[in-house]
Amino acid sequence: MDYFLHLVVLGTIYSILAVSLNISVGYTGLLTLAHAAFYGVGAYAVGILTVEYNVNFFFALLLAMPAAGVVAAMVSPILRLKGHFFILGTVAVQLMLTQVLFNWISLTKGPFGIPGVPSPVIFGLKLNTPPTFLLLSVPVMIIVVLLAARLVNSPFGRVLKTIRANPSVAESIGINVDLYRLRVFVITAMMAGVAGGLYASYTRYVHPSAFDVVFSTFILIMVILGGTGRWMGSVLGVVGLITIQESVRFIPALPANMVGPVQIMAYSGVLFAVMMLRPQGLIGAYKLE
Amino acid sequence: MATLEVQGVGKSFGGYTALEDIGLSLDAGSIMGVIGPNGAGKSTLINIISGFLKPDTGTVKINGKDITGKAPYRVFKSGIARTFQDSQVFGYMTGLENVMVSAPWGIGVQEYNVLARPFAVAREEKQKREEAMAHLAQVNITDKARSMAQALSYGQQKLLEFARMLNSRANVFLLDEPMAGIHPDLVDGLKALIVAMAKEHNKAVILVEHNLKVVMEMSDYVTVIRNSVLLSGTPDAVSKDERLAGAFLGVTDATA
Ligand SMILES: Nc1ncnc2c1ncn2[C@@H]1O[C@H](COP(=O)(O)OP(=O)(O)O)[C@@H](O)[C@H]1O
Ligand SMILES: [Mg+2]
Repeated sequence: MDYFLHLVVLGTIYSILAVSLNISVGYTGLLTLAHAAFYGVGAYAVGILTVEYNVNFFFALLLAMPAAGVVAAMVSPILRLKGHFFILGTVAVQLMLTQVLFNWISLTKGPFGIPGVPSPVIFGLKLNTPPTFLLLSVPVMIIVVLLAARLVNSPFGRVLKTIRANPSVAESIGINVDLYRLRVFVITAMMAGVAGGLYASYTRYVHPSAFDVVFSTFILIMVILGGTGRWMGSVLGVVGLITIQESVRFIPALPANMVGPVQIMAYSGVLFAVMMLRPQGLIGAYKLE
Repeated sequence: MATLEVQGVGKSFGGYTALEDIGLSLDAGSIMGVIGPNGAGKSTLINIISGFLKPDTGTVKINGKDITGKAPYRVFKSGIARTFQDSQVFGYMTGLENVMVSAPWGIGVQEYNVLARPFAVAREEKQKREEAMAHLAQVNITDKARSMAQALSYGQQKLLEFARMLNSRANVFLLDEPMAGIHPDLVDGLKALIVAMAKEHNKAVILVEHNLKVVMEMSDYVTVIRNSVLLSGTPDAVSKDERLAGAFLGVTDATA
């Protein structure tokens, strides 16, 4: 039961990641493979602030947002790249930020990671088990997902959809495409930062390998599986991918050390199959082209 | 002061001079027909005025304000809206949304207002929706308000694009072959609408068309270009000018 609830906790964190990434990829057409990097910035912000500076968790979680947003703004010159070049630019950002986490030892402790991140405490209750942590992660997820849904189903979201559909025609009707791209890039990084803060306090340990390009790909697959351009799709994508991952454990006679590799192969296979057979994902608004 | 003034505009692509020393000026409430054979540079001129291309030489002014080389969204904000020769709609958005997006002002397009002032945004949306429906009605496609634009026929997409332009509150319209591909039954209505925009709503209209007869009927002034301005004047004067035939000489598709 606890293991199931552990998956639910991960699901709430992943939902924040996938729904925010969908705003970039699905609504604005910014296909980015750097989302895990901003997730990592949020996790490290909470890890460092709570462990090194004894900052209250909730305050640290609030600060995780601007931390991720500032880093996104710092790398935002990659937004000048268009199309495939932008995707490559995000890969570069992701790889660089991973190296920063590994090598800026004085700040991040590098490959040792930061252990001992305190569990959040609400009204004297320590949220250090999956069922108790859900008391925090479910409301946070609901808030973030509702905000995201509100954003995309608004006049603001309509502007984003025109940019995905055709940036130069969007310009022709008065939309400052570069400015909107920047805003989306920063806002969605901030949302990823929140997810990172939750993750740090849930696992009580942050390590650079949790925020690498493989994980960025994993988030993107959840978005694509669920369907781009529909926020609900991303929540479905999370459920779908966790289900697929966990099913791997039930493969008879699979040695324990093969579970991880087979999981990666399974979700890579899912990506391939979705692109070939159903490019709009489970409930997407349009076919990825 | 003319509403729109183009002076000495030139543009080369590689070694090919597409436009040379183009000048024209246009007042509110009038229609300027721009004709010329295929490849004459008509669309290039529209692209330069709307900011999609930067001219090598020359200036574009609106109400005396220089907008040469400004980004398209800035040109739009100075009051110039355009349509594209090959219709450009947002495929996976509804007809209504396609029209509403050409009003990218107000509070709802800012994410902080969307989150902080939902009721004010909702009121604004209601008004924008009504305006957009009225513009869909002007081109007789209110029944497409809920359809995805990509499901519409080519002609319907052109009408949708036209409605989007009407919705923009611009006072200069740049129309790049608006009638091409429109069902013949609808052409007369569209022509009347364009004329009404100029005469009743005081818009300044540049009408690029390949059909000479249509241009002569609708325009107050006509400019014939073939890389440079060959002649210009009232439709009467231009149609009587023997140089008009010369403009299309050596071009296989004589009405293009
Ligand atoms: N972006 C571009 N790059 C290179 N050549 C172009 C470009 N745009 C237009 N041209 C060339 O300029 C000439 C004028 O084209 P265009 O303005 O589309 O003519 P028209 O609209 O009058 O038919 C054509 O020879 C075309 O091939
Ligand atoms: Mg043309």
